[in-house]
Amino acid sequence: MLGKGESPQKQDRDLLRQIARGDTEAFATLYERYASAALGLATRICGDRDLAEDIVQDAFLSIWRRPATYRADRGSVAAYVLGAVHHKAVDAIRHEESIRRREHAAGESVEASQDNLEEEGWISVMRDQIRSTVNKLSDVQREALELAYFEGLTYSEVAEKLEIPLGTAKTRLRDGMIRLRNLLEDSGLAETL
Amino acid sequence: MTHDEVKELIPAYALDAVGSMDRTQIDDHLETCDQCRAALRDHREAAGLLAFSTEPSIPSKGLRTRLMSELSVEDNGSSRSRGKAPAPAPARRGLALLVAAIVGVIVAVVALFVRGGGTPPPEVTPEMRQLLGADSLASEPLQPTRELPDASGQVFRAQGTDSVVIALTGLKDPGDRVYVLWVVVERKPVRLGEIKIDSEGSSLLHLIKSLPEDNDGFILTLEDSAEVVSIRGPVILESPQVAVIR
Repeated sequence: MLGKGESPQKQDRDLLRQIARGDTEAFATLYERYASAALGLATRICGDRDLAEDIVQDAFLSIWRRPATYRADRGSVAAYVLGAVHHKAVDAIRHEESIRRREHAAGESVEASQDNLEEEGWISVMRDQIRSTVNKLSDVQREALELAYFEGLTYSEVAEKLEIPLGTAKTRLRDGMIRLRNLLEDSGLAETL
Repeated sequence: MTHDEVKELIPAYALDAVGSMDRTQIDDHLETCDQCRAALRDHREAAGLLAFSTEPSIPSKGLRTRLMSELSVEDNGSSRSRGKAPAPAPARRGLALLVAAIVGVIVAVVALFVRGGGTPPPEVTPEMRQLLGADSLASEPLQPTRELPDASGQVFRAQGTDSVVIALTGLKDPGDRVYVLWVVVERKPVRLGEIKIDSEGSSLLHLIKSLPEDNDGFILTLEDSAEVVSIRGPVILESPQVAVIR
C-alpha cells in the first residue's frame, strides 16, 4: 500500500532497510509493488510464463538474500528490482533450454492475485508515459534498444542481426540510452521511481 | 579496456547487452571509476523505466506462496518488526550451553571421500563411532537446495548420547565467502560455526554436544562472514528435526 506524504523512492528504501533486518512483511510489500511489472518484463523477454515466474521468484529471492547489494547512491529500488529480474531473464534466454521452452510456450490461464491492483493503477499511469517517451526515440535507436533489452542480445549480436558495424551498434545503444535518459528527466519520470 | 572504451559500453552494460568477457573488464573498471559508476547509475534508471513499458502480468497466487515459503525456510527468526517475543529464559540457557559445548570441540579428522556428480552422502567411519562412543549409528540426511544440488550431508547420532556428528561433502570452494552451520531451535537459527572444506569439497567432522531435543534441524548457509549472527546468505543444506536418542 502506498503511504501518503512520502515519495515512492523513500518508501522503497525504507522497505529494503526493513528487509535487511529480516522483515518478511516488508518483503511481501515490495513484492506486491513490483511483481506485476517484474513478471511482465520477464514474460516479454523469455516468452514463457512458467519460466518467467521462476525468474521473478529467483530475482526476489536474491533480493531477500542480499539486500545489502542495493545502494541508494547507485539508483532507485525500482531499477534495482527490475534490473535483477532483467538480468536473470537475459541469462535464461541465453541458455538453450529456454530457447526450446520458448518454442513450445503456450499461453496459460492462471489464477491471478488481486492483491496488487492498487499498485497497478499507480504503475499503469507511468507505463503510458514511458511508452510515449520511448516512441520519441529514433527508429534505429528504439530498434537497437529493444533488441538489446527485450531480446537479450549483446551489442555484438545486435550488430550482427542488423547487419551493421559493431561501432554503429554501440553508438545506437549509447545515443538511444542518453536520449531516453534526457527525455525521461525532462518529463519528470526519472524522479517517479 | 581503457576508460573511454568502458565509458562507451556503459549504456550497453546497463541493458545487460555485453558479453561475459566485456562484463568482467567493465566490473573491474567500475570498482575504481566514480565517473563510470555515476553514468551506470543513470543508465540503469533509464533501463529500469524501460521495464515499465512492458505489459504487466499479474502473477499467480502460487508464485507468492512459493516465494514466501522459501523465505520461511531461510527466515532467521530475528525479524523483530512483528514484535516477536524473545525466547523464554530456559531456552536461552539451553542455547548458551549448546554454544558453549561446541566451542573448541571441532575435531581435526581426515576428510571424508568425495565422489563425482550427485555426491553420495557420507558414510559411517571409525572416527564417528569413536566420537559418539558407539558402534551403531543412525543418521539423518541434510538435503541440498537448488544452490548446490550436488552437496550432501549426514547427521549421525547414537543411542544414549545427545551428541551428534555432522559430515558434509560435495561442497564447492566458497571463494571469499564461508560456510556457516546453524542449528534451529524454537524456529531460531543458532550459529554453530564456520565449516571449512578440503580440496575435494568435504568438511571436517563436527561433533556437537548437548543437542536440544526440541531442535528443528540443521542448516548450512553461505555467508560473507563467519561472524554473522543471523542467516543472510543462501541455504546450501538443510535437515529436519534430529531426534535425540536417550
